[in-house]
Amino acid sequence: MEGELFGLPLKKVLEMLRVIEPVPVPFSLPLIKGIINVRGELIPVLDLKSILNLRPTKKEERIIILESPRRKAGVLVDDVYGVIRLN
Amino acid sequence: MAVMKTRMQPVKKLFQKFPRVARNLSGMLGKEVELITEGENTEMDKSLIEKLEEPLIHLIRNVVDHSIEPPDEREKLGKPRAGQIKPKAYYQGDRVFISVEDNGRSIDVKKVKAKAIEKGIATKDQLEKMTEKEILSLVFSPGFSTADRISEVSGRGVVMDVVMRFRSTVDLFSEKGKGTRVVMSFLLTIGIIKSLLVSLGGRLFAIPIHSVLEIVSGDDALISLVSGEEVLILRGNIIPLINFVEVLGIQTQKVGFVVVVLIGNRRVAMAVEDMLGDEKVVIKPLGKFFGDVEGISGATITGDGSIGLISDPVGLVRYPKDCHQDNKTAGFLCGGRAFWIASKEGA
Repeated sequence: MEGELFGLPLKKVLEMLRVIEPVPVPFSLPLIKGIINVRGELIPVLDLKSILNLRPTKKEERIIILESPRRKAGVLVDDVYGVIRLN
Repeated sequence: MAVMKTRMQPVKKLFQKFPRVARNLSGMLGKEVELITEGENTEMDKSLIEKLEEPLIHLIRNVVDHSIEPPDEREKLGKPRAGQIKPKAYYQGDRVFISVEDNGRSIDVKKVKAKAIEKGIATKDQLEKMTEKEILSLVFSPGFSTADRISEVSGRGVVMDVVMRFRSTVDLFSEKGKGTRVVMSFLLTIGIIKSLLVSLGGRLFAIPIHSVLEIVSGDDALISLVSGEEVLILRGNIIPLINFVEVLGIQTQKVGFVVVVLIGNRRVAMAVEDMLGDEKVVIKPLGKFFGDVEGISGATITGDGSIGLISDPVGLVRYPKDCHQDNKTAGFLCGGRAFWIASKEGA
């Protein structure tokens, strides 16, 4: 994102999608871009750049769906490079 | 579908407990009570039914205890000896309403005022600014407890507990000498509703069709300004127009159609850009990230896969305009209507 590399724990990654334009929900937090339809499931999409205080210059190309035990959410990222093992 | 069926259950389960409660207590107090239930087949969320049981039984007990007069007194007042209690359930728009009406005494506003000051629920200054309806709704404040047996309005605080937990409203109507009516409404969080699909600011919205009264073409609609507020003039009637910029932060480009919706006994107009037909939609909750969005009851996925937001006309109208936050209960009082922001799950 914006020329920097970030890692996400693979365990939490459910899937990756090409960007779908999220439907904005009125009065939600500015960090939440909206909701998307992933095979019949409504998933909120978060603006990861503003969460991380990055200045957005590029248009995001991918949405990564993350899963925690209680909820699912998508985050917007510029690009996905691959999987690496960190020790 | 099957899952939904089991989650939705008729309120009969809840209502069938009332006669016994009313009979037992009225027997003890030497009163005569007649119970008339209506809308027993109205279905609502099972978990809600379970949670409502205790507060509603409490409410019925209160009505028998405080509102219904002894038979002799009733006779003197020219009322039938047996007091009537009418629990009723019905749908309107995307809400389920439960009301309990009685024809006993009314609630004395002066007593409520005195009690509110005594219990520190409101100050004298605050009370002065409140309408009668607002004062009556103080009855539901948690501090308004059963402690004082003399008060005829005691102990309804339990109802509020449930109302606080779910997205709901409580209204209290009381007419002098004619009785009291408590109306609760709950948002349908699961289920299928038939709705009218419209577009607003290029976005898809679903309006529950139960609440749609009529649709006027934008070219024929006469919209004018009355004291700074936009209104629709329809056959000589003035109907307030919901301001979507203010309520939902959505700027609409044009007025394609005007949808007139009925909320309670009020008519409200919504100017929409376009109409895309009607469809049966499955309500999906927005999820924990959003908490509660006033005016939006959920979202849905339409036949072609696009997402529509389901508008909640009740919430849209209730949008806090003349509200003041009630610090004691962390809720709001709006035009005599108490409503609570449910605590966000997991927060």
